[in-house]
Amino acid sequence: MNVNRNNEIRLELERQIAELRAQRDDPGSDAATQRSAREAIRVLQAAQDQLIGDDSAVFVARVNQALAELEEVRTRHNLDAVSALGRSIERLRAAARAT
Amino acid sequence: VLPRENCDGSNAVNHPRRRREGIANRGPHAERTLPPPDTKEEIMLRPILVSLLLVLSAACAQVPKPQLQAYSEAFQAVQTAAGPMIADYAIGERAAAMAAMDAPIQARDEGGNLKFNAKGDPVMVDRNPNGYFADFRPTDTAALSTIGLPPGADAVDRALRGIAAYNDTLVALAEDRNVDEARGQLRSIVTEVGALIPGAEAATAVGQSLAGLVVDFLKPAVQQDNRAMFRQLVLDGHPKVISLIHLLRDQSTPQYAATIRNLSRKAQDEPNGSEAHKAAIEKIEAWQVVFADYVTLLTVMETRLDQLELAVRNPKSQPVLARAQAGAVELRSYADGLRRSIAQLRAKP
Repeated sequence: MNVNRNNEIRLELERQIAELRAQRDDPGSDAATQRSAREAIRVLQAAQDQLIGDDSAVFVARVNQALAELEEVRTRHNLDAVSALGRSIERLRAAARAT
Repeated sequence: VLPRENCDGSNAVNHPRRRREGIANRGPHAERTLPPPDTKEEIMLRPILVSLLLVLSAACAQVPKPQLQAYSEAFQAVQTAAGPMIADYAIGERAAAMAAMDAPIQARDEGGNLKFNAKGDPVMVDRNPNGYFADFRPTDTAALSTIGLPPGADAVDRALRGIAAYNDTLVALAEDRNVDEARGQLRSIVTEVGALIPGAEAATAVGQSLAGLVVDFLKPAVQQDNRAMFRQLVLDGHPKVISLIHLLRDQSTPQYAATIRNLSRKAQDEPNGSEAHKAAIEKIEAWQVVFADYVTLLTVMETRLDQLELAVRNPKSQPVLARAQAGAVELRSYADGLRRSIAQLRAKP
């Protein structure tokens, strides 16, 4: 899974944001530096948001695959309705209604 | 009385006279050989062997209820914990998607190709220069749709519901629910037929008793079939559920990032040491504890499922039974710990 790789990217973004925050909040920094740091933080935050979406997309695909496999096991022997006898009876009931 | 036939319709070897006389089914000129007579020891051992086989088959057919109960409890604890966590995950995921919609996009030239500057970096432009979304993209659905959950949170929810459906089937088989279901349905049919056919009302009472008898007659066979299906479902489903548990556990890392997304923005936007910064950090730390407890519950659930699978594979394993019973107590303390963590988090301003 790419979770670990994305988490490393996430931590790297955090590190860069921390550096930029220091510039932004430094009383000794000029206004241009602070504005530039603020804008750069926004870009890095957008990258963090993008990672959340990317991770979701990968996760959704994997869950879909795993669920399909589990459902295949569950329905392999018609276990979804559990009762084969019950289903036969349901057919009888329908036949009785039809007469 | 017809003599018993072989599968091919012949009764050569099994014919009582031929067997008594030891005539093998090897053609018209076959030699006559007498079968070895049963020894006294063999005759004495027979009932013991039959009893042993019966005991063994009964043992194989048992549902390991303590392990099933322990696994079900673990799953319920995970599901209970996951509920409020999914809600917070959805909020963070939606906020991230919304912010991504508002983020700068790469510019395109008149031919529709993506634009790069002289250094090869992408040229970014404001997607919404006039302050509103000028276009709609299907990829924005996750952020905007109010129907259902955004994709990641929805996948966690669906994964848990898929496991719940599997567990329900296991429990239904273990409890022989289909027997009572069949009894009810059969009685209902008798009543309906009695109402449909003129003059059949009198037979309805008899039919009701008969329906009960039919189900009672079939019950042992249905129960035996249920045990076999339960065993197969545990053995076949085990690796699939484990894989879902691992997916949920791995996803806890991005789920955590999405859940604390709004809090981390606050912490990043406020200067260090400010009250708002401190408050955001305290909440983030509380979420750390919640996620740690959640992953612990997932691990317990995995262990319980392993124990159930082991008990089904080795029905006579007593140490496994003892472990499952001992584990039930520690799970409750995990669940209590998680509930306390979430309550503490919600109580914070």
